[in-house]
Amino acid sequence: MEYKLIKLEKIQDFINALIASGKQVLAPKQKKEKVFFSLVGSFDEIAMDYIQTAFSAKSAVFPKCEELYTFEKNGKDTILHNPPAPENDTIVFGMRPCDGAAFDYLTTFFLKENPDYHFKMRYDKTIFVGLTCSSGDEFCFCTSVGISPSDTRGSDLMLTKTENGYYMEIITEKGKKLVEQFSNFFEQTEQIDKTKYTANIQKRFDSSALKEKISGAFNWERWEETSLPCFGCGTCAFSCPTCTCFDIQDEANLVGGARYRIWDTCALGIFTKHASGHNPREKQSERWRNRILHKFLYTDEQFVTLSCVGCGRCIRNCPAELSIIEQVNAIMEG
Amino acid sequence: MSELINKVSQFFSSGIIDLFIGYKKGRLGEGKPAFFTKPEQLNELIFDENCIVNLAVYLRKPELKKYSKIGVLANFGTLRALLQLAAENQIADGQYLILTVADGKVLEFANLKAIEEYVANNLPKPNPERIAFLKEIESKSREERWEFWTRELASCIRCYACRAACPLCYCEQCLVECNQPQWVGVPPTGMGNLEWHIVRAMHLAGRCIGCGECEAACPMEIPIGFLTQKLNMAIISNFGQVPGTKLEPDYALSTFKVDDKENFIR
Amino acid sequence: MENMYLPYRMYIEKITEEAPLVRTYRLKFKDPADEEKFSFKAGQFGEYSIFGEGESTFCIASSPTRKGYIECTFRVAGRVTKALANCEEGDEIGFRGPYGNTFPIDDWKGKNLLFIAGGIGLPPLRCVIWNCLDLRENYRDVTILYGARSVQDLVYKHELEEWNNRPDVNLFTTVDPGGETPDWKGKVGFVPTILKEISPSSENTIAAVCGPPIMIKLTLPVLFELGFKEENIFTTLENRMKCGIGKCGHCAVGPYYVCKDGPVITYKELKELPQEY
Repeated sequence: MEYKLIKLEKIQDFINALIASGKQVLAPKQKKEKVFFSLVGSFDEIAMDYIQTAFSAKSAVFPKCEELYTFEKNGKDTILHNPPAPENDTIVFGMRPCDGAAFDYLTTFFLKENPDYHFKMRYDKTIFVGLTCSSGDEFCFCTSVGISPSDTRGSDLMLTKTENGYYMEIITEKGKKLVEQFSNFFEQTEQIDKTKYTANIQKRFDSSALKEKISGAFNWERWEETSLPCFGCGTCAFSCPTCTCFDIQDEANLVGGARYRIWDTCALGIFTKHASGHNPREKQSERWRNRILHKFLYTDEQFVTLSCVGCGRCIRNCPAELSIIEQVNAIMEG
Repeated sequence: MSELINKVSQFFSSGIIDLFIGYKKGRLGEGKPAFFTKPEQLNELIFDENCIVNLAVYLRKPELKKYSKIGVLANFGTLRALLQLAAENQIADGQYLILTVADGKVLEFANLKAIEEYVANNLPKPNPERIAFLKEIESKSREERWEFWTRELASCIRCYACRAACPLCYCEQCLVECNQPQWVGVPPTGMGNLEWHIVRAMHLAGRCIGCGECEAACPMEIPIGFLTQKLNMAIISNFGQVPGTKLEPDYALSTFKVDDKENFIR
Repeated sequence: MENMYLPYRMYIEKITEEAPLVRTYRLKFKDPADEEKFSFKAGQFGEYSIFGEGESTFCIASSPTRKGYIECTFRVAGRVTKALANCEEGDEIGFRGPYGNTFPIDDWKGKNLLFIAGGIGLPPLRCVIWNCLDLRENYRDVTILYGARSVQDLVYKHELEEWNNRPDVNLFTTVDPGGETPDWKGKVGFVPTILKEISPSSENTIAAVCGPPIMIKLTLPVLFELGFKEENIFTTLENRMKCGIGKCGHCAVGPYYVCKDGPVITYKELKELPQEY
C-alpha cells in the first residue's frame, strides 16, 4: 500500500482544487445544531468539529428520491428511458469508518444478487475519502459490532489527522487515480501507527454473546415494554447508513412521467399493510422488534454480516430517546 | 420531586393506576419519555422545564389498551393537547389521572374542567424569538417567502416524524396514505413536499397547541413549527379561537356564523 | 448491467371476466425479441404495471408449457388493479418477471398430486396444474378440490368443465353453504369439510394448498389427520410486494423474502419463519 501526507494547510487547497475541477464534493456541513452531508462550494463550508453527522452519506449512492426510469406515451405505446448517469465524479469527504463499513454492506446488498443498475451507476462515479475518528461519544459503538474507528473498509482513501498533517492511506485503484490527478498536494511518507490518533471506543456489548441470545428473541416477552416510547417516526431508519428499504411510486400526467424509488421505513404501519387491510405488523412493538432483529439477526442469516455499524445516529436522532444499545443489552439480560 | 414520587407511588399501591407515563433523565440531561409500571421504578421519575416531549402522543397506542387506568405527568403542552383531544371527542373525562408540577407543588386535576381553568389562568406569552422570526419572514416579499419555504422544504425526506410526534395527528389513515386518488404526491421532491406541509398545516390550523414537538422531531432541522404557528395566529386574530383551551369545540374552520367576515374573498 | 426495473411491454390479447371483479388477461409481448428470450417455471410471479399508476403483483397463471403468451388473473382491490381493470383488449401493460421460486414438479414425478384451492387461490395453482397435466404421464393420480363462496365466484369456469370431463383428473368443486344455485351439480360445504369427506390418501401424495388464510388454517389439520407430512404440503405465501427482487424490504418475513426465497413454500419451512405474515 502507498502512504502519503498532506500538510494541514494544504488540505484546503486540495479540496478547493477538487471543486474547481468540476467534481462534486459531498462533505459534512453544519446546519443548525446538526451536521449533514451536503454539496460544498469551498473548503470553508466543511465542518470539522463534530462527532458524527446526523445523516450518513448513503444519499450519494442511494438518494432519497431517484428515477428508476422515465416514460412517455406515444399512442398505444409507451417509450421507456433509463436515467442518465451522473456527469461528474462525486467525492464523499470526511466519511467515518463506521459509514465506510456501511458502504461495504451496501455494495454487498445492492450488487451481489440481482445487481442494482442505479446504485452501480452512482457508485462507480463516487470516491470515498474516509477520516479516522479521533473522538467519539457514548452513543458510538462501532467496536461492539466488529468495526474500529480507524477501519479502512469502504474507503478509497483514508485520512488520519496527525500533528504533521493528514496521513493518507491509498486503499483502492480509484483512490490512487485521484491522488495521481492531484499529486502536487501530497508528499511521500512512511507507514505510521494510527493508534495514538484513533479514538478509544469502549464496547457497549459483546457481539459474540449477542448472536446466541438474539436467535430466540422473536418471542421475548419484553418487546412491548421496551418499545413503548417509540411513536413510529421513522427517523432511525432514514438516518441509518445501512437501511435500504424503499417504495416505488409513479408520477405522471397525460403525456408521460417517471417511476421513482424513494426511501421507506419498516417503522411505518403501512409498510406491510396488504390491500385486504391485513397487516402482519399491526403494532409499533412488532415493527420495533423487526428493526432490531433485522440489524442483528436476519441480515446475518442472509449476508453473513450484521447490518448495524454502531454509528449511533438512531440514538442521537430519536425524538423519544430510544437507544439501540440499551435495547441490545436488555435482550442480552433476557 | 419526592412529593411527586410519593404521590405516584401511593396511586400504584392503592391500585388507582397500573401505568404511569412520565419522564426520566435523558442523554443530555433533559427528560425523556418513560413508562412506569411498578412503584420501585419511580426513583427515576423526574419533572422539570426540560421535560418537553408531549406525552399525549402516546395515549392512542394500542399497546396501552391492556392497562386499566393510566396516569400522565403533563407539562403545559400536554395539558393543552388533552383539552383539545377532549374537545374533539378523543378522550373522555376521568379516563386518565392527570398530574402536573407547578411552583414545586404537585397538582392533581380532578377532571378536565379543572385543567381548562388551570390552562386559562396560566397561558404563557408567545416566545419573543419565534415572533421575531415570523416577523422577519412576513417582511419578505411573496417571491422571497416562496423561495424561502421551497428551499427549506426541499430537504424534507417525508419521514412523517412531524406527524408521528404530534398528539393531534391521530387519524387512523392519514390523507397522504390514500392513493385513490393520490391527493398528495409521495416522492420527497418539489411540489410533493410543499403539498404535504401545506396539508399538515391546514389540518392543524386552529388545532395546534404549540408544543413544538413537530419541529423537535424533524431530523432535517426544518422550521416547520412556524407554519402551524402562523396559521394559529391568523385564526386567533380573526376568530378569537385559541386551540387547547376549551372543552367545548369552537372550530373556526368548520363552523359558520352569520357574522363571519368575508373579506378573504377577493 | 441492465436496469431490472424496466418492464417488458405487453399488450392484452384477450380479457376473460371470470367472476365479479375478477378478470384474466392473456398478454403477449410487443417485441418478438423479448418473447424469444423469455421463459418461466410454474409458481413464479410478475409485477404488472400501468405506467403512471403503479405495479401490482400476481402469479403467472398460465403454464410454461404453453408458449407465446402469459396469463394473469386478478381481483380489483386497489388503485393499480382498478386501473388494470379499466383496460381493453389491445391496451398496453408493463410486465416484470419472472420472479420467485418454483413448484418442484420434477421432484413430484411418480407421485399422486392433490391440489386444494379456495376462491381467488386457484390462479397460483392453475399454472402448476396445467403444467402437470401437460406432462400427464409423469404423475399418478391428480385430484383437484376447488371451492368458492358462491357459484358466480368460481374462477376458470370453462376449465373446471374441461377438468371435470377428463378421465385422468378427479375434480371436486364446492360452494359455501348458501352459495349454491338451483342447478348447481357440485358439492356444498366449506373446502376443509369436503376434503374430509373425500378423504384422499396421503400415501406417496403431494398436497398444494392455496386460498384465503382462514381456509388454509382449517385445511391443514385435515391434511395432518389424513397423514400428510409437513414437507409434502406446499402453499404460496402472499405479502406486500414492491420490487419483486429482494431489495425493497416490504415482503420480508424475518430473513425470508417472499419474492426471492418464495412464494412457493412447504408447511415445514413455513413453521420455521417468524410468525409475521
